[in-house]
Amino acid sequence: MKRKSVNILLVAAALAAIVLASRTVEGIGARKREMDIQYLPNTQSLKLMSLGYRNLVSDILWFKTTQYYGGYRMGRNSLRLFKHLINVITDLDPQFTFAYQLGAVIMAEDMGDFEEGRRLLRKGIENNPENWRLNFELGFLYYITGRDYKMAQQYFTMASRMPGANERALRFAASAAARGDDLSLSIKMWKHLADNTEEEFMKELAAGYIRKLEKKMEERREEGE
Amino acid sequence: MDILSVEEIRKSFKSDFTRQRSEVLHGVSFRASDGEVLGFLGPNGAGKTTTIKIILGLIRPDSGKVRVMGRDISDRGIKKVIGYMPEKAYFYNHLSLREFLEFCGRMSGMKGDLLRDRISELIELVGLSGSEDRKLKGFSKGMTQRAGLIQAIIHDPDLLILDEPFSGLDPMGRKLIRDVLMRLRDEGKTIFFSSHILPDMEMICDRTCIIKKGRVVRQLSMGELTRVGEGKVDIRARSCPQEEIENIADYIEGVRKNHDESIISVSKQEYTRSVLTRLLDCGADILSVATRHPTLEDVFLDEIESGSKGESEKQEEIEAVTG
Amino acid sequence: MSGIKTIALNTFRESIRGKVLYVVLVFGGILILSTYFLSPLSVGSAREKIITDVGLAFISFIGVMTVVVVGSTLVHKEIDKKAVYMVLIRPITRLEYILGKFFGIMTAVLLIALVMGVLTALSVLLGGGNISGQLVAAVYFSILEMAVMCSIVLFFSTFTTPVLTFFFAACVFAAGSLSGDLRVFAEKMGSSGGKLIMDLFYYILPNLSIFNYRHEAVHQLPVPINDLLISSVYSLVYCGALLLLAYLVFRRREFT
Repeated sequence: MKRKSVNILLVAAALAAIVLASRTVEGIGARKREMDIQYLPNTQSLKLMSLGYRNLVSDILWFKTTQYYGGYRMGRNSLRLFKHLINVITDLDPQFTFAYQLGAVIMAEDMGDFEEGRRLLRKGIENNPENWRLNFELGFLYYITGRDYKMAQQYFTMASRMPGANERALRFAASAAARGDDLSLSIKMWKHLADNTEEEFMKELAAGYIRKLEKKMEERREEGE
Repeated sequence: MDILSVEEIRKSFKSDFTRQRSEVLHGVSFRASDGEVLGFLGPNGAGKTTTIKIILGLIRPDSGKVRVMGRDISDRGIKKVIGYMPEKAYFYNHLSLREFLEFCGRMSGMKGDLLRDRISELIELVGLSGSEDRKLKGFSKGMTQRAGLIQAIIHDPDLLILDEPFSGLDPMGRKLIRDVLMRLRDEGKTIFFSSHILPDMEMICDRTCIIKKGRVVRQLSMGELTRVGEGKVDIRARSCPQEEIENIADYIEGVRKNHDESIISVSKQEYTRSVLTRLLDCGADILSVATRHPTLEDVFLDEIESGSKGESEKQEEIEAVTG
Repeated sequence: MSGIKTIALNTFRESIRGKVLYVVLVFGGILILSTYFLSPLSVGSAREKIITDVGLAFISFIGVMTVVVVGSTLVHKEIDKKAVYMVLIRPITRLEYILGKFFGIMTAVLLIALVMGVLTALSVLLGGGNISGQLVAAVYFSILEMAVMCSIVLFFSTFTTPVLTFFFAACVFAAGSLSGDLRVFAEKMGSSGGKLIMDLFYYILPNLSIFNYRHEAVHQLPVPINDLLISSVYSLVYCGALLLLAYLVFRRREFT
């Protein structure tokens, strides 16, 4: 019996030592993580170094990118390196459609750079010509951020012609585009986007933007009174 | 003093499949005194190897005590005086004989020239000279047995434990091991070994423990064997006229014929002289006169079989009582 | 003490003798040298960067691979073939056995890391660059990483098969390398129950990202002395703790 309690004590001591040591090096680890992103090599070098495991490398980078965005939302870092990250990821794996989708939305909305978002989606469409979602999203961005209703309508129509397109959402989107600036409609469009995606991240993002727009609507109503 | 003392060792194992505990040793006890050669005899599955592994610390007993030279076996220092020769060659096969022996010697605390000289001496003793630099992988069965013996005695242990040292050897190999063991016995070492080869055991043991189904059922000394049946004499003779045999019928237990030889069993020792004289007078050739005593094999088989009889007798008793 | 030395020497010999080792070394050597030939494809000083980056990555990867492959088979083979009896019946404690195995494997791996380090340095020199202190430091940190992995592999090999040992070690390596990112992922979990478990997991898994000094070596950034000290101590503590756990498990083992 005495042996057993000694053993348990030793195990506990070993684990405690590990935990303590891990806490001590946490700072170094955080610094290393930032460096990984800061010193991400250019696409060409990365392609060389990936040695055929490009998708794996792109997946790992995607994981780091989502944590990077998470850090931005928690106020820990800026999105300064986001563009570079997304570009490298889509260079390594041009068929990674979700990276285009999320990347464009974040660049257009959080970074306020519609042009970059547009450019990214165009790259995505070039590499994935049969993908209706990318066209839909570009239309969406033109509508919400670019305020270019003609272009929005054009892309919605293109998307509706592609295989797998969700008919109802697209018809609604197309008709909405014809009506121009309308806050409540924008909110409804975001809701439709959220409903049509299986990606949790997208749903969260949409919810965030809806809240922003609803607040704006409140402010406008108060001003009007 | 008792060099080795095993008291009430119990051990049960959990079967992987059935999750049931099966008791393998039900309280094994025996002792080996200083300078004794103790044999360990038992049918397969009786628990010989398990007992030996417990003595060596490879397995922990559920209960009971094992002491070597008065110290408990958990005392790490006690391993210095124990040598073990395993049943099969459990060696580092990628090493050469010399490398392997150096490794073993160093782990037992030897080093330098002392170790090297001892290795050379022992290699020569067991007849492996010339094979020092060959890899153990290429050794024959007999060679590996001898290598195993060397590693067991390289550190000059006081207690030598061997698990089936004679198994798989040709007669020459067996003689070699026997000779080495007897030499060690003469040097005063205590030897404890398990075996199936009874004649060898009979030849070199002072005492034997017979283990059956996890219990020591009999301990007897070789001296006892010779004492039992004292008084019976066997005479081997040739060209023995039949009438003469009938004449001495009162003094003999029986006659066995083997080709032209007759083996005459004298019933009492005091009759030996008269029977011998009679045979000589009638012109028979006396080939040998020997005391007849049971062999270890007789005792062993008797012990094993009596157990089974005993059980069925017990069963009858129980049925008689409970009706 | 001499018990540890004897077993370490024996283990070292056995690690070196395995053919796997030579394959790994040759493979690694070729890859490192091939980066030298590939790098003209990129422009300017990028060549030196690639050689350094790839060379160091290979040292880390192949070093860890060797540790895992050798470690997962060595102990198990010995126990399976019962050669370990020859050790256990002698006045050697099970702790000495574990430590001897650890030092034996680490010595072999150290040799490999040094050889590959020299090859990388040579490639850099041939490319017209200089061998920097950061390069040496990066190799040192890689060795610390290998030591941590070695203790983990030994721990698993005391109670499970080579295949499972390899699998667990590979998982721990992957998780440990992405350690920091996993933590951020865990913070999102919110609920205190799940978070506590993830936190515990995070702290117990080795934080291998701290041993990565490739960026410093490639971009000639300073390596703080503090880092050297703290990471060395971390490696020491982690190895010590895991070897202790390995000993506790091994001590309880029975050899039927």
